Amino acid sequence: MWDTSCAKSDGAPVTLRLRLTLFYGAFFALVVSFVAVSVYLLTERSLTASLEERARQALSDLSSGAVLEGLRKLPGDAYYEILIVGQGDQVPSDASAVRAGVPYVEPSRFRPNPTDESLVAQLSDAQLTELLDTGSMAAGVTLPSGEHLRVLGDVGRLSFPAQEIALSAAVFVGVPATNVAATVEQLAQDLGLTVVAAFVVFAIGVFLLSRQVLRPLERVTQAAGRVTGRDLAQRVPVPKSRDEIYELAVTLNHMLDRLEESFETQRRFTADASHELRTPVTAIAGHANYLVRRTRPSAEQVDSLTVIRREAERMGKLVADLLELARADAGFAIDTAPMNLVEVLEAVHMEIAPVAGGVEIAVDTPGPVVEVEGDAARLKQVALNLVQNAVNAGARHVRLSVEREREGVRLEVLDDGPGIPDTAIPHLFDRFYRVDGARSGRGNGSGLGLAIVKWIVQQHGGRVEVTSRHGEGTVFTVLLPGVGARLDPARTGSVDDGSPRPSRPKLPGV
Amino acid sequence: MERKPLVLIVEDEKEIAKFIDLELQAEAYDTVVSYDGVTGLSKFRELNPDLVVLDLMLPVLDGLEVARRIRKTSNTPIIILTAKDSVDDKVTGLDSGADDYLVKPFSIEELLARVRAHLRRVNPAVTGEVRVADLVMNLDGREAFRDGRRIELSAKEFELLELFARNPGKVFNRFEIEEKVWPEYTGGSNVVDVYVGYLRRKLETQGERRLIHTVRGVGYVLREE
Repeated sequence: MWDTSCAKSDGAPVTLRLRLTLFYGAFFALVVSFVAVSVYLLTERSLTASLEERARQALSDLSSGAVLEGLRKLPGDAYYEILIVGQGDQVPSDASAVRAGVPYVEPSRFRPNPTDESLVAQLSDAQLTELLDTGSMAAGVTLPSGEHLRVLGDVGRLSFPAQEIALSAAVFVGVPATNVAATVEQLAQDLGLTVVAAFVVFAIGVFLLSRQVLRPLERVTQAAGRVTGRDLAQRVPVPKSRDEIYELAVTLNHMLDRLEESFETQRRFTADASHELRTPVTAIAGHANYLVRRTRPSAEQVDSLTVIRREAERMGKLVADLLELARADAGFAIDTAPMNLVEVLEAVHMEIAPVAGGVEIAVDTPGPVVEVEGDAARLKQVALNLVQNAVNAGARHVRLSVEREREGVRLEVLDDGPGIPDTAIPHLFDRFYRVDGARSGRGNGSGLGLAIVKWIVQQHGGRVEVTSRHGEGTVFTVLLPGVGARLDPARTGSVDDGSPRPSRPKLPGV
Repeated sequence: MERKPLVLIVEDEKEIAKFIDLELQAEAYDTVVSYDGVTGLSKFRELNPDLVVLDLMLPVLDGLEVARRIRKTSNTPIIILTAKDSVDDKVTGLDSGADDYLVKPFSIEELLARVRAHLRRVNPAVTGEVRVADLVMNLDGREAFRDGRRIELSAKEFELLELFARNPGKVFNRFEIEEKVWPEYTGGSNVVDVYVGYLRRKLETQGERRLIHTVRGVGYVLREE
């Protein structure tokens, strides 16, 4: 039969989902970060540029001699400083000469600086030298009060037409950059937060949407998981959209069609072959039987005829077993009704004791009735197969015991045979599997007995387990649901792996 | 001397027909063999046998149809042989009017026992039979029929039904029943109630009238009401 346990894997779609989310999220974060950095840089540059533009306008007015004009254009929060450094066109070459320049104070003082701080005091010699060399300069300056300024410098002429004098002067204008810095910093913060928030929202969105996208895939997986050897008729749902999942579903369904076909062919072959074999087997056994019973064969002939009859009967049993399993594969369900398991065990005892060749068989029950919901003929087959197995294996004592339990009924078949090797236990319920050594040999079993036992017990909603100790014996345990109860469906049909139990199997007559 | 019962064997597999024929002759029956449905049916009309052993898969006219046509005019017991054994096939076989059903490979002893049982049922002069209302129990063949329908009973169910059927109208208390049918167990279980339940279910599958009645505070009785 097929193992369906590995077909169901809820983990895969979630992993794919996570991977999709991380992948798209990372890509999105990269793009958004790039945009944010660009916005930041552009904004900073444009803010600084507009600041400088105002300052430069005022500076050029001041240094062209239109002092009043320039001062009028100067923004209210801007600083200015005019140092007269020479007569006419004389320009000193030394920075210290600039520092030593005479401040020009606008006579009406209608435009004072916001504070009394000196701009030139904050400038370095190198900056002043640059001013003297190139005729202009620009620098960022922090006043002792902590205010940031963008300072522009120029060397120009102050002309006083009334007095007919012209003086050369170093003219400085400082515009507060604190606002720009704060704005830019705020922008950086806002952008950072926006990027993080956008990433989170995007990731959640992708995670949720990807479920939407992956849902058809999940449905395909679930449907494929429902397909078992028993039920190959199941098909995967085909989505309406002709996408990749559509392709997958169609391909899977094609595969299932072919699989079902070959499975059905095999099953029908088994069933047909069994049917066809029944007639010759019946004829062989019937004629051998007739010769033994109704004619007067010699002793040698009786021996030979007995072999023919016995082998024909064995073949008949094999054919019947094969048909039973073909039915099992076809998903044949058995009919159950309340019945007394004790009577079944007693019938098995009566049937097998005379032909068990001296093997002692005991039935151990808590009373005349232990009810189960079952098919009496098939449960009898279970008990018969298990007892026959023990007898074939070479047990001297076999005990059939039945007990009521909280969750149902426990039927045990205990023997003191040679035991089953650990390596054989996982295959014990496989078709045609034979344990090497004692259990194979000449045994007249079909090799299908335990496979049938397992199927019947599963059809009853029960389970069968086996425990064995080398040289001590074997215990087969069949758990059946009581009347009106089913065992926990999750555990239905599990076959115990036979790992040793802490308690020793109770062996009969030992 | 009494006429030997005549058994018609309709079976297309000659080797199977042959040994059934030999066995039935050895049991002192007269036999006629035919190998297809049409011949079988005309032999039946011509010879009016006491019992028919009928294979299901026959050439020309299949066994189910043969059984149906025989049943239209006659109550002769029909035992069907078949290589099919699913429940549906069984039901169809019995619905078509057959009285019994054996699946290949069958044991010849079982076929002979069924032949004996069905011949006895037709001829009630033979002993070993209990009849109450529409219930017929063949004690040798351990078989029970209700209104001609064969009822599958376990050993204990049969014993219990036999106890009731041999004493119709007698009220048994649970203790008496337990002592007679389950002597190996000491009392105190509900085995009697459980088995009366089983019997009622099996005797009333076609909605027949109840045969085994509860007598409140006492026990059970089998009677026609």
